[in-house]
Amino acid sequence: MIRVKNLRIVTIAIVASGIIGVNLAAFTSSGDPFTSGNTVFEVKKYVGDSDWIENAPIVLAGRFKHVRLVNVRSDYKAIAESDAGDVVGFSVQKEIVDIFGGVDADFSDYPLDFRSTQTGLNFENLKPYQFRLPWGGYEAEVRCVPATAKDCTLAMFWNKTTVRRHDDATFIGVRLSDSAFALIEKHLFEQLNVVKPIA
Amino acid sequence: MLSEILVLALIAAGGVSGAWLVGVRTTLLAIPTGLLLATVARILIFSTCNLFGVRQFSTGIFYVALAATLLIAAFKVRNGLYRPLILSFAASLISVFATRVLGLASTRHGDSYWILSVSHLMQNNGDMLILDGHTPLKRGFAYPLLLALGPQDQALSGITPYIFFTLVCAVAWLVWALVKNAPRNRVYFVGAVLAAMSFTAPVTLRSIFYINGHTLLAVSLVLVTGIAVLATRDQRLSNAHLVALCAAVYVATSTRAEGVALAAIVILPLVSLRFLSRGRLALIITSLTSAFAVWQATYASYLIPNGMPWFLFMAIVVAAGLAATVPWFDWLRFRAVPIGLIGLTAIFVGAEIKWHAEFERGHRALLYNLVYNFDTGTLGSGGWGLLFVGLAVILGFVLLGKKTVEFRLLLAISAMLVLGSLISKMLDGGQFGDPDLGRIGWSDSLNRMWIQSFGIFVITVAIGLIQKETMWLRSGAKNKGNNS
Repeated sequence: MIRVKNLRIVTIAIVASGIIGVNLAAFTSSGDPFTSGNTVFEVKKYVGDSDWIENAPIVLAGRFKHVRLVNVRSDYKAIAESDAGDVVGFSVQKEIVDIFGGVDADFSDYPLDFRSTQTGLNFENLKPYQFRLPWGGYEAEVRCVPATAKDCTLAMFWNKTTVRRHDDATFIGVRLSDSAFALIEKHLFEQLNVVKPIA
Repeated sequence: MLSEILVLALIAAGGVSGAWLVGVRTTLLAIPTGLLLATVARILIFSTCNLFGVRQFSTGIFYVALAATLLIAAFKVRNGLYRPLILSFAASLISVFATRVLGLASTRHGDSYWILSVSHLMQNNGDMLILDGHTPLKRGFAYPLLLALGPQDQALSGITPYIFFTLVCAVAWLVWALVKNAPRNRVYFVGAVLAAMSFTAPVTLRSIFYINGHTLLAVSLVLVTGIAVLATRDQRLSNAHLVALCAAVYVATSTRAEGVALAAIVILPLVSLRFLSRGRLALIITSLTSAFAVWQATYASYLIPNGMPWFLFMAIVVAAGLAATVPWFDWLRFRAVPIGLIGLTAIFVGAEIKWHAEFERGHRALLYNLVYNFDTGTLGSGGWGLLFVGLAVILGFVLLGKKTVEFRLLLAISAMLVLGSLISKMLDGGQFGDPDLGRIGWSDSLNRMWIQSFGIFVITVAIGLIQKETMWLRSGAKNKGNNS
């Protein structure tokens, strides 16, 4: 039996009980510590179906025989306190491209800038070709290059009637607004684009 | 699922057998030591095979090594081995059942995806040179290597809860080793209170299945701390403890980037021991430096100067570590703990003065994550509940008055781990511009770093409370504790 010598141990017991009680009461506000019912164990699928900020290449690799990405330069070093005005591209991690395979990327050039160019390349014309992401919605969050406090968005577009699943496909990195980027399949890009982008 | 059970059971059994063979004959210590020995073997076999361009054989060799260890132990040291074997086998079965049958998984997180990607590369015998950049390096080496032992194209899902199980064993071993002569009722009461406080904090439960190296690093740090405290108290270091210690230092250094710094911090009390021979000192330090060098060389890290051969890099790193064993540095070495504490404090205070404005967000994040989020009106956003508040309050009660050697040392190590984690976070942020102290939310890396050391904080408070004689009335049981 525990016998109490002085008030300190009683105080500690009360404090501990209070903490345990508050922790339990507030448990749900912290979100579930873990989930149940997971059935996906294949790494490529587990990662590719997630809303991971880096997984655009894995998503595309899972839908075509071989994918080539161009205009995805992302080696621009992060600069302190950068803002949307400094953004020149979006992040494609070379390591992720290399690890999962099925994709090769040309990192020579930044995305083509179509922000202030009157062409067919705009969200309205692209809408019928947009790809619904495995985790829902049409726009993935990606890191801006250089990194900014708020992430950029990335959408993917291709014409399902001209490029079929398990074909080879080339995707071009394009900037559509200050913080919105797109990966557009080459044939669709050529079909919709009538003017040269800003160099 | 069957292959995962077999692999995890082999890691558990082979590891425990290895620990038993080297003389670690305490069940609660043999289980974590076994995991760490198996991890060291995995790293060394993989790195060597990688060096000779035969990575594809590394997994097979690892399994053969574990099976051979199990067989040798079965013939040579059967006495008592069945206990840790049964316990670790049961834990590996439960771990696989939890992930594969119940489908339990932690909150999804970007770092977990990175780690899974690295393990996918390792499993598929991919080119390790891909990993030479900053981001893969941050994800560590030891933990992805263990995950890569899963079925084809899958991760070894059960290893994560199994690592957590070994962490619980390590904490229980150390508490028991330090207070085994204290009245049982007192130990059980304090243990139950602190366990309840810890396991009602969401992050503790989240870390059971969270895919990241934090818990593996935590196991290593608890073992190094424990062995350091026991060696300081008893003024002796057994061969068995030395092996466990070297394995723990090796794994701590290979698991996460900040593990290098934290391992260096927790070995300070050992480095300062006067009775330690230079040979043993060299072994402990080399466990750290060689682990770092092997990791960097295998990843062809950007930290290796361009054009420098990997063996030269390794030789320089190991030789630099060995410099600490030269007699000229003995004066510093014997005072390593106070010097370490003062040095870390000076760095932290200096950084606070220089970058106070930049740290404003971090200060708020620390308060909001660990105590209370005043914006949302909810408990700490870091998911720690009121655990840290509780530990601080209890510590306040036991800090005054006489302290035992082991409690004083645990306090110093805890303080250095706090400072080390804060400084590691500053350095990590500093690579991208100004140093940083984190952001609000559980997934902030500093907030997750506390997973690595909270076990030691809990042990510190437990030991302080149990050994505080003035707080307890003796209930008949003789206290033959090591109070000094």
